[in-house]
Amino acid sequence: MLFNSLEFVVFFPCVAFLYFAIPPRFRWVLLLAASYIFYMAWQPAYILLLLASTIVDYAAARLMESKATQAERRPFLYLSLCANLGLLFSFKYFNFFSSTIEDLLNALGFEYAAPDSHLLLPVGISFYTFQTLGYAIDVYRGRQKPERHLGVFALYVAFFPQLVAGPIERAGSLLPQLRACHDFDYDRVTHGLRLILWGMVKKVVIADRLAPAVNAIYGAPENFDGPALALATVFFAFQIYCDFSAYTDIAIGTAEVFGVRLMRNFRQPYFAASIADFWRRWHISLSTWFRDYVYISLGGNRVSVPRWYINLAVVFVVSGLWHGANWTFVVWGGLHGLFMIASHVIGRTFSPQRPSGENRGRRVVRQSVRVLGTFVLVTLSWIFFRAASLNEALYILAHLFDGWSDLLTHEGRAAVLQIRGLTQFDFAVGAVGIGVLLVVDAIVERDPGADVARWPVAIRWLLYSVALWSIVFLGIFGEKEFIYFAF
Amino acid sequence: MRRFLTKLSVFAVLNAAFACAFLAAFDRPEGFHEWNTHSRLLLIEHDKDYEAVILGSSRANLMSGLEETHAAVEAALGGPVVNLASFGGGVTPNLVFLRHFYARGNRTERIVYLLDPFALSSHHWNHGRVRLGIEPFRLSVALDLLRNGFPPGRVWDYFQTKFQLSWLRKGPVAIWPPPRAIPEDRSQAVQERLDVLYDRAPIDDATFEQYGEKLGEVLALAAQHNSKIVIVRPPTLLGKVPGSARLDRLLERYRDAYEFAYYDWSAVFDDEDLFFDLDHLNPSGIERFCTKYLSRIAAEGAEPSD
Repeated sequence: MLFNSLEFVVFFPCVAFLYFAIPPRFRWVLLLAASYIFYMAWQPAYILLLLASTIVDYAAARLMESKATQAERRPFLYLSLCANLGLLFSFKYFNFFSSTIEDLLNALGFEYAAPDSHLLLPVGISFYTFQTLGYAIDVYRGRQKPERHLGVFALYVAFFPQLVAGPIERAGSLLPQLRACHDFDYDRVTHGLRLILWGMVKKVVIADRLAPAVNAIYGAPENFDGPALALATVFFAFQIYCDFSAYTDIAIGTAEVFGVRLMRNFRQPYFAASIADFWRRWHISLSTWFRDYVYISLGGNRVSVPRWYINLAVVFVVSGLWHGANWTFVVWGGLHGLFMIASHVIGRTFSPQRPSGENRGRRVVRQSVRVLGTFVLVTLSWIFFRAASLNEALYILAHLFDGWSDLLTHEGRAAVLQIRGLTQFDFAVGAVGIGVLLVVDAIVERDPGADVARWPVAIRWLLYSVALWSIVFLGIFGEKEFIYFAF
Repeated sequence: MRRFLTKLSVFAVLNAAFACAFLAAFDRPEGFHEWNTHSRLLLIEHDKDYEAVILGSSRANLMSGLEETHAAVEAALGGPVVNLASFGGGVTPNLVFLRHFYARGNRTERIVYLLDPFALSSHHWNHGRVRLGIEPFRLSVALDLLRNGFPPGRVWDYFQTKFQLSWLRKGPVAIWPPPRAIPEDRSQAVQERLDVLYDRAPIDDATFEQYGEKLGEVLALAAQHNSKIVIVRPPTLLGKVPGSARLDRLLERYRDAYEFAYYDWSAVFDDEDLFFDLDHLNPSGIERFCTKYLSRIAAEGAEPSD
């Protein structure tokens, strides 16, 4: 069931109404049933995988409970690791590693045909396995008491607002909220609904409007020149941001209606002034997960500098691989690791002394250059994220600067707008949508406490109506999945 | 919660009022006829008398594709005719449009249904192909579509398209499509056309039965409004198509409950010069069909016949 579907428009109010109508002690049952129904709307049989992951991690944590030392708890941690990573490997990475081995052996002169798995990738598997893994690791480390209530734990794994595309929640934050009783709160519910509305605008008005042009150009990059390739890449940068942050906003807003606060997953990422800053703003739940469970486990930055760089590289490469079983994602992750390392090397080598009393104008210019530079690096790396293969990504990169002089002619400019899937109207809506998004982000960046709730009611209602009617007038509908459902 | 529900209700009412005002403002353009719009609902007047309502798929729709061919149909049937057959129209959209026709207080002497077996053979022809984006929004029609199994997404499209530039800018369009050449090797072309009509699969019994029931609803609706029913198998170069015998058996079953005339004219023309492709008549073919065959309906008073 997609958030941007009529089924969800009916499902969510029904669940919300029942939630506040039934006695509080039964609400976890309702949410759990609703979560399973939500998940089974895709592939009913795959609920068994979710149940398997739930039972294994519930049992592993309960078994760890009686063990005093980490050494005694370790076998059960390995049980959880094997089960969750085994699931991921079987459904997501088997064909990737299999074909890589085949290519390697064939390149070395050995005849080998690797077996193929035809298993469909279960929606959300990368998210819920990481969520349950995090729980098991926290129990192992003694930071989390095992949840004794199987039903509440099952709800922690399957909670439908964040089940299929995050945020990846920590047990210490989510479990207590799922156990608690949440009465109807006007401010909380209206805030949640505002987030849902904004998320829907980002998804159906902006992201899905940009998608056809991106798909047309990335589907056949050899047919396009530099301006079109650049346009598609910039469009994709905003498509993936709008798409993913929209899902998160709807997830957070939906959960908030039920009284559950999920963690923030995006913080105006295209206002980042460095790659490190970008990763403190983009997919925050994943980056903090990798920081806490992989990077710190490897030693983090409390090691020698060369080892630290290796740790960074490993974390980013694995993070890239998490996104998809393709070398393009590995390169994308690796590029970000490289950028992180390079920025540190440059920072250590060339530490510019900023003059004291530097005027505001120069500070703004310097900050703008850093933000723009970071945006350019991030956008260039998105080429690898979006391209179907490394060859295609390299082709796009190599031809990004071809044919720009054609833009000086009217015919050249018209040719850019004659891309299949991009009308002048689409271009205008997409451009205005990106503009609105950046203005909203700029407002929140400047004042994180900015809240529409404090505005006069007439202005608020006008804004809600404009958002609603922009969805009706400008929304693109029709089974448009969220990008991160593929991970 | 009461405060929330009150405010939500007021917000919903205000926006619903805006929606109604917008829909009304851009709704009822003038000057549309069968030959300059693909929309069928735009043709339905209020409290009017007709000699005949035409139902069917594009094969029936194109009978009125030009002003002169529509005039030929009216001349053959002896009075004013409204053509509610739509492109991609299986039985279900025809039922919905006919119900709306009667709901607007209109009356017709007869229903002439140009029926083919493929119209009962798939969900695709009954829910997937009919162009709702070109139809004015009617709440009763939207609800009827949902009742008749249309996916909610398609009904949402029906609503949403009324707020888009393509609807707001609409004007009369010529609907007669460019002719397609009939290849010399007709057998391969016939098979390709049948693959399209029948979704490259044998007819599913349950699906045929499901839409057979919809056909029964059409017959019941016509009978309820005292309209005579004439079912016609229109001319085609496809030969004996899959489902023909099945359709004949279905119609035999309905003879007990409803009176209707049935004419199988599917094989009356074999001259390619009368067709613009394998199963659509061209203007010459329509003219000949009207004068030689369709006129018999009015002349014979639609008595049950073969």
